[in-house]
Amino acid sequence: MGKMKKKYESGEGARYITRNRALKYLQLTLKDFRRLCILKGIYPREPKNRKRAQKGDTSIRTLYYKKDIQFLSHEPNIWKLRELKVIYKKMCRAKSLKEKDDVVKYRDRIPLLKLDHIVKERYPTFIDALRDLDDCLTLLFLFAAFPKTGKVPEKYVTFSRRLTVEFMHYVIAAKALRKVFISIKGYYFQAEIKGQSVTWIVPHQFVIDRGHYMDVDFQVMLNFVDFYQVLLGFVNFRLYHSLNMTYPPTFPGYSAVDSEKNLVDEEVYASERIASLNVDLARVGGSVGEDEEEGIDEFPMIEDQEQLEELKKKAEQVKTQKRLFKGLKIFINREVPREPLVFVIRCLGGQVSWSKTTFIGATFDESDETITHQIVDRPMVDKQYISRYYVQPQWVFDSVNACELLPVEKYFIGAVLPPHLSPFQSEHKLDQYMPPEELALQDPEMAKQLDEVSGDESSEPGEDDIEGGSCDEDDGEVESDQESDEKMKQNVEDVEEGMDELEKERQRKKNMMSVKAGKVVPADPYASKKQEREDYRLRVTMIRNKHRKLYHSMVKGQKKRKTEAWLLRKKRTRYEEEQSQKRKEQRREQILAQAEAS
Amino acid sequence: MTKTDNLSTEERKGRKRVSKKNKIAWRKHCSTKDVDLYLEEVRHEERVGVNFTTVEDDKLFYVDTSLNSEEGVKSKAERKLEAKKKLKGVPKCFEALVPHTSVPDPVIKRNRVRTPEERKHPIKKKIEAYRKANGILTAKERIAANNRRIHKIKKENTPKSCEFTKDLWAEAPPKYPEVDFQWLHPTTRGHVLKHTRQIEKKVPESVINKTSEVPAIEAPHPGVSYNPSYLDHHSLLTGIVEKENKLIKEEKHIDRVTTKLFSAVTERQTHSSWIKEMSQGLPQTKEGPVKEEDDGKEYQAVNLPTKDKKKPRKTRKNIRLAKEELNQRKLKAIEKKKVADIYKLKKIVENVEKDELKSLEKQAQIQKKNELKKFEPKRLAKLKFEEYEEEFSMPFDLSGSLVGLKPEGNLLRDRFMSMQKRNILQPTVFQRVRNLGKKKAFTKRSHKEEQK
Repeated sequence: MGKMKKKYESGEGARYITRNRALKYLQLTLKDFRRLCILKGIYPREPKNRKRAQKGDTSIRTLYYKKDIQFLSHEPNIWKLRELKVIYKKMCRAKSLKEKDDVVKYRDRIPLLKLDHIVKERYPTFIDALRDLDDCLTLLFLFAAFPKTGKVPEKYVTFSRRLTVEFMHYVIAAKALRKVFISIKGYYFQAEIKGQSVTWIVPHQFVIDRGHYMDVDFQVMLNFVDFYQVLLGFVNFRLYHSLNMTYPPTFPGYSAVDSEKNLVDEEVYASERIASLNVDLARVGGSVGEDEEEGIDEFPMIEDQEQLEELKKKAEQVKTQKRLFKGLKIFINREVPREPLVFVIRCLGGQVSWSKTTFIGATFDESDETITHQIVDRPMVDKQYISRYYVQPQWVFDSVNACELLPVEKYFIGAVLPPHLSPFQSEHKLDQYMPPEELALQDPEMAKQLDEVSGDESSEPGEDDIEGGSCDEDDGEVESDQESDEKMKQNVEDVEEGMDELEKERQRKKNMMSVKAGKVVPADPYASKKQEREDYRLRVTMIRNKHRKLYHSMVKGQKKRKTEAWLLRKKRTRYEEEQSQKRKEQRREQILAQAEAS
Repeated sequence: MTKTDNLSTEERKGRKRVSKKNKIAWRKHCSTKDVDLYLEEVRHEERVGVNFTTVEDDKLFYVDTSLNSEEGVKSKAERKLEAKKKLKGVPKCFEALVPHTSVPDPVIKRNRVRTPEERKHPIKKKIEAYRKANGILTAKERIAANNRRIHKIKKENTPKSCEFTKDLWAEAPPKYPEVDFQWLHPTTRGHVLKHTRQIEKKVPESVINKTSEVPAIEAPHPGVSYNPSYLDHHSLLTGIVEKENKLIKEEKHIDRVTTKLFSAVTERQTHSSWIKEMSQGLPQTKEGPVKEEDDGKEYQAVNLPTKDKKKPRKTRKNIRLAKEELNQRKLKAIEKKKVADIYKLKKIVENVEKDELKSLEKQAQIQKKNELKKFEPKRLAKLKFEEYEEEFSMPFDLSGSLVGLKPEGNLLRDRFMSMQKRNILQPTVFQRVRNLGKKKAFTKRSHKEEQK
């Protein structure tokens, strides 16, 4: 008989370790352990069978993978954390004894945790890092907006600000911005970097107050920021080099050595100008051609023509979006939030400026006659130039989302703005009913139609833009070719009934011998569709039993949603018809009234 | 002092005259308070200075006429000079060394102590000068210089924050020159690689994989736009109202099931019930004296002691045989059923198929559930994750312009909760005040005595 097997030495019982045991294993305090876990990307896990994972204990404990903890123990920074513990203890003592020199001495000894290798470990490729950038950007943009005095150490704020500004400069240079959305929470931005869509939120100005620190464990967030700062730094480095830009960023025409003016702080001089987002950054080896024209390669891999068409269309859209504001000169009034607007306009190739007194980096004055648009967010402006449009800021954001310059009339000063719709569509919404206004946001053609409808009131609305009911179309209405051929033959026979048999015979033979001109058999337009449908049906029957029920419930849901959408659309058309009828009647009455009056 | 004082006053109350015949008696009955006071005053004056009340006003004050005269307005240079003069006085850090009494130093003449440099032997001085001139270092100096050099190198090599000077994802050059392992034993190879740190610990997959399918930034509801369309905003608000109603309903349910189950009890009732409970088993007084329960029967314990009664051998045998027979009968029945089942094969197959179908359905359900579970927060700690309220703006807060925008929500908390939702952080109760432990108060021994 072999050795008796002990319980929990293999399987789930051996795979997990409780937090307390992990602390003991690593000889760290809870605070340090938490910090290390956040830096290394090791998170607690939920076991499949808790009782087994906790070796018989049924209470709910925080569990980690044992392998993860073993991996943690190989981290070189763990030694620094242990050192830190000692230093903090000494520093605390010196502080309580009010020995300031000692406090300074110990503070200088605090080692810096080196995180480069951790970034590489967690994101083996650059694309991995880009994929996980959402969290990082949002947190750093938030920290950059914190006041420097307060609970957040100043270095966090300034460093976060520097990194985020650098990132924004990259997005501007690469023209990577795709979507913008102003919510009550903040500005949502979405950029496409190396094929990855990166989304982040920028808080509104002046929203951060004391309440912001109250609800969360702030130390934890600082640990995240520590890691994300390093991550974004390296990402920025690589992104800048991909565009041949120098990192850390400088702008051409500025060099710290040459400047003859005796500046108090040259670094601040440069960083302020860079933070204005209104300067092109210096590049190595001259500037790259601004518009790299990249056509979509004809991939033989993609067989589906429709898909290819769609891709091409998208690429075209992106191309137009990239130079949407090219050639426009936009002036921003002082009441409008400067940074998001400058960022968006510059991303799409526009020229921006603002009043010199609001911020550094203004390039032209309000009195410049070449300005095409001025962005204003107040009911009236005293002095107006004829040569430019005065529009509200939403025009910029809506134009970006629509991928075209929207008509300015709706966005004039004092106008009631059209709703600002979200460009972030969740997938489940695709089946649902969308009002024509929302459809217009996605499809520019629809927008034109809508404009026509709204512009030309007398025309019948809703006739062209509304599709037929989406209920199943009738199938198999088409007469087949064979049938028609047979009919023709019969007719011929009827005519020649009275002829002799011989003649008939001869005729028949002659007919057989004769060569008729070839007819083009009209291709059945529905044949391919029919075939597809049949294939589809076949596939449905071939569904494995395992998934059948799931499939049916899916189909049922789809059908339900479709009918709902159809119903709503129907309602809408009816409503619009009624409205137009009303309008017509009103107009008729008006005309009658006028006629009577005259 | 106080003791004698007290005594003397008592004495005075008792007797008017006391004999002061002896020295002891004199001391005992004579008050020295005035003398002591005087002496203390003198000592105090010595230490601190003369009492102001005794000094004439002319010596204390003088009439300030400087403001009126031109000299009073001092130039900047003068003011600076004065400040310097003030600085020349004893610095604050040495104030403790200055005598705080005006009592003169009892030691009249003090010798100056020579510095260690002055005390040094002239020959040693000469040797040191020679060494310095020729650049000869002592062992101590040599070690110190070396340490300084090492420290400098270390300082230069320590990484600085805020500096990014390399492409992290570019292929790094090998740290050490490559070794030709062709002729080496595999163990040697392993050893070399390990100790030249060329083998790096393999990163577990759990670190690279994501903990949840929920995206870091979820698509915002179109109703949270600063200028939403009516439909979107309405749908957002209805969603929130629904959630709130659900919460209220649950709260009501819990209230109904717990607190409302029990009727309120008055204080009197609780008291009476307490009395009743506490007097359980005691002889009751109101109903008269409790009779001793004496039924004439013998005393019997509640749990009777068990007896080990063994069944006789014969009965045991019978039981065993009966059991065996039963088992055999069962086995026979099973065998019989096996034969009969051949004719029921069709039915059995049907049943099996039905069961399989059922299990398949169940599996599909489980799969569906598992797919959904990927988006749900997991149970990582004692506390369960709770969804936080979404941001929304009331209709009257929507101004329709960017200037009048009223921001809502807390982005930091939003991030924090999102991390909890994605299983990155475990849900915890945030402690605002640090728990410093219980404090136990006690009085020092010295204070205890005084209290007595």
